[in-house]
Amino acid sequence: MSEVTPGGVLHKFWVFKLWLQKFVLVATCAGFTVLVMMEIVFRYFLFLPLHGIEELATYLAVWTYFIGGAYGAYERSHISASLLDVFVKNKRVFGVLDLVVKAITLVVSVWMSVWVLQYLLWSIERRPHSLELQMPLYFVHASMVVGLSLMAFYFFLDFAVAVSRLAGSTRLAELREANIK
Amino acid sequence: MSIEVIVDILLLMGLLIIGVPVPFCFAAAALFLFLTGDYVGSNFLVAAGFNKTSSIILLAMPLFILVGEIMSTGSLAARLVDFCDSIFGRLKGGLGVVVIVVTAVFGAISGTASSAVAAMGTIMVPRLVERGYDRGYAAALVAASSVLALLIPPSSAQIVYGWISGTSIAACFLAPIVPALLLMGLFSAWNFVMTRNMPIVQPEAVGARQAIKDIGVKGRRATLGLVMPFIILTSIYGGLATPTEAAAIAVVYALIVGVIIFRDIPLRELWRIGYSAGTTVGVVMVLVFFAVMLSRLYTMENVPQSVVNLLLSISENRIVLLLLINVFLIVLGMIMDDFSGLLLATPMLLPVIRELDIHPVHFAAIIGVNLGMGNITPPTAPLLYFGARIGKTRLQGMLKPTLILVLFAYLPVLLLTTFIPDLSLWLPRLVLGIN
Amino acid sequence: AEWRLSTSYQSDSEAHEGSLRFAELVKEKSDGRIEIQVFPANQLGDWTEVYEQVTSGAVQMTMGAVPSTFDARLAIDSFPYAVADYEEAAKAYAPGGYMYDIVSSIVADQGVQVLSTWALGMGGGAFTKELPEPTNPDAQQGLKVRVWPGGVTHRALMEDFGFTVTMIPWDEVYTALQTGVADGVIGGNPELTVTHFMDITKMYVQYNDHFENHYIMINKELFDGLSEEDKSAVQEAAVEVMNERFPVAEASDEAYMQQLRDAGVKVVTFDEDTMQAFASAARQDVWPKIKDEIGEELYARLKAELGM
Ligand code: NA
Ligand code: NA
Repeated sequence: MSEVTPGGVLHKFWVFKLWLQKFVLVATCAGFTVLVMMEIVFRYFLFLPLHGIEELATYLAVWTYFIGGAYGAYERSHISASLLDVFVKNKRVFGVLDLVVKAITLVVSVWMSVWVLQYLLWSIERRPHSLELQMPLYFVHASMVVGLSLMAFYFFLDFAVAVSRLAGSTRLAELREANIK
Repeated sequence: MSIEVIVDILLLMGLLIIGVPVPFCFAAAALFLFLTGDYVGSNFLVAAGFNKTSSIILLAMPLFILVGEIMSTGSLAARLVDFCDSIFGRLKGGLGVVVIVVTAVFGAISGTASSAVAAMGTIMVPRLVERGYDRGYAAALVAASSVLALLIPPSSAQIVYGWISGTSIAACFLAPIVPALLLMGLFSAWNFVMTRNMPIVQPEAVGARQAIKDIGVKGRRATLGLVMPFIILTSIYGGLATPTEAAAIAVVYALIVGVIIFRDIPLRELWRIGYSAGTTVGVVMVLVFFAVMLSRLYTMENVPQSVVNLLLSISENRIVLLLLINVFLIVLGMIMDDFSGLLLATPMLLPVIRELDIHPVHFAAIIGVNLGMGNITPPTAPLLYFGARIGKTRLQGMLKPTLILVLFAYLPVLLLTTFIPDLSLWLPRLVLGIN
Repeated sequence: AEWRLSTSYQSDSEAHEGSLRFAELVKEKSDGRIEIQVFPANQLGDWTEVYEQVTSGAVQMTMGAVPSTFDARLAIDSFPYAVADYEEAAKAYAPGGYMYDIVSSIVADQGVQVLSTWALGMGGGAFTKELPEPTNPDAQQGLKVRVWPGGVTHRALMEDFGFTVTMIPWDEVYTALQTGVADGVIGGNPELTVTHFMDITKMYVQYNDHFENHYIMINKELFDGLSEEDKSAVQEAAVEVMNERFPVAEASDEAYMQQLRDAGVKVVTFDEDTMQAFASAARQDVWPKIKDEIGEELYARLKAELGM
């Protein structure tokens, strides 16, 4: 596990990947705010209609949505309505059910990643473009693939944690939780 | 309704209960219907999700979430709340009323309820908890009040309704205002009841002169904040900007006030504000993405249509049908977000509405209050889940107060709105002179 | 077989009636072998999304406009003043007409078969303020008019007609008109103005700037795979609906304009000379600026068809 501990290659890569996600979020948020403001400034102060700018702003926002969703999976902040800990008191049963939940989430997220990948491939092949800027839409569709596969990746980690926990090891769980904080 | 659909709904409930993250419950339910149904390729579902989430109207939401994040980082929002607190805070449970009133004011800035949750939740939940309110209650109150943002103009839900039904959006905007005021009253009343036994710390009692002076001081400190809804509403209603543009103006305004004037947002905080707002937005939008997919499949499987057929086979009595329509909308609101619910229910119910001779503007208020309520009615309760996330609490603690507000505030207002048309038609008649 | 037909029409519109009529005729002519379920009001997505679904077969049929998402040349379908009245529209858009041929062959490459058309009406502009000189194509009107996202051709047109042009997405149009972000909207027709903007419209100008033509379309692979009987049942039903609609479309425009007048809206219609003035302003001044939107080849064809 030495690669995963601080200083290891994997760890450096991991830190860089998180930084990159944050960077995309900050950049896109700043981007669409500035774009919408530019539209107002152009209309009222420069008396020039700036066409297609809202379209670009919206597409930047879509990147925010999916990378933000992925970061949410990393932070484990996706909305969940679990009533399980109210009804299940037995630790072992809880562990098994937890594993089932993690497994379902993993399978579904992988399946959805495949769906959006298929859509991206279709988009690359058929080249639909945006109405205003005539920009190929695969630049935007790619956000779904990046976002959902990252989500699937984090759900895989959580699944692995649940398996090792059930096997009696807490090392993986500690690594993952230390990392979130 | 086909057996597959019934199994699918049970599957959805099951996955929600065992704690699969909600977006992936929707995804799983969509996957099940897709696999058991007769569909050519999954691309159309991805396209549906993508197109809905990339709508320009929704762009106002991340912008208003940014506003909320900025407002809660700096002292701007806190000053606003302080001012309201100096007025209501001396009452026991008064901070709860502050939530309700400030959310309603915030609703006049925002077209989406989720931005109200974002802005109000981040500011108010920690403050309520600090004063001894139960965290679950605090989050529930914020979530339930946030629906006010959908009922007080501007409202994206009313725009969608007006567009589908071909009704004046100006009139639709005005229709749910009186019901919203009624809701505020009932929320405040229940707030006093529910907070009775909480260990709430009251600010020390002071004389009337001191209290008025305090209101004046807090008011001055809050001026730059109080100007904000004014700027936004003037931009929108004065014809200067679209709601999305007004939201961007709000972001820039909040930044100027926080970073340059008050100097209480250090520049390095902007990095955190950016990715934190981005994550909040992302978590909600991934939910919308999969909810749209599932709603689309339900439409294709004619789920809502079979429900309407069922309605009409039961009775032809006006009152009974209105009640049934409300029950149908409540059920729809339980399994869907308000946007999808509106898109599905409006075209289906309009023929029934016309047959019953109900004014479409009146129906705007009925459907608005009803599907707004659906947003906090489990199992599919995006605002409730969002409130839990923003309030950093679990859902269980929120359920009881939410249920009380639904049963004893929303339901009575819903019934009044349904059976007293003047409640929703008075204002549009007064302002716009509609028939 | 059971098919889905998706439209953007409101449940109480004439076009929705038409789609139901089509479904009924198909059932009748195919002796019940083909059942079509109509999904109105964008229930299965907006026009670009539904078109995409028809190319893949996820939705079998649609009635609507053709989006330029996959081929920019489809902008020709709403090219300003490609036709200037119903007579020219009948020639261009009926099966065998040049516009019908161009559109059908482009969408065929995308896997979509055009069966026939549905005439929605002639285009015009709805305004919340009165135009100072509505009948003068060279006047400066001093108003902000909205075009739809992607309406590059109409942007140039309206700028030439003396307006400031702003792009506003459909969902925000009403609010924008109400608050004054825009003073008018181009791209609609009398029916759309009645159903969506009547209460805020002060003046409606029947520019005839474009002919709002919708197509009855089916997934090509599905259509090609049908038995001969089913093929002709579907084809005949589509043509029958088209033939029932076209003769009444102009009268329908008239009736909706009357509704506008009754509601106190000033309705401006052009006499023949004025219409000619607008059309030739568009064709001579605007077309050279926007010809790239449809490409050299189609532009040459368009001019040839009009004898220019
Ligand atoms: Na609002
Ligand atoms: Na709900």
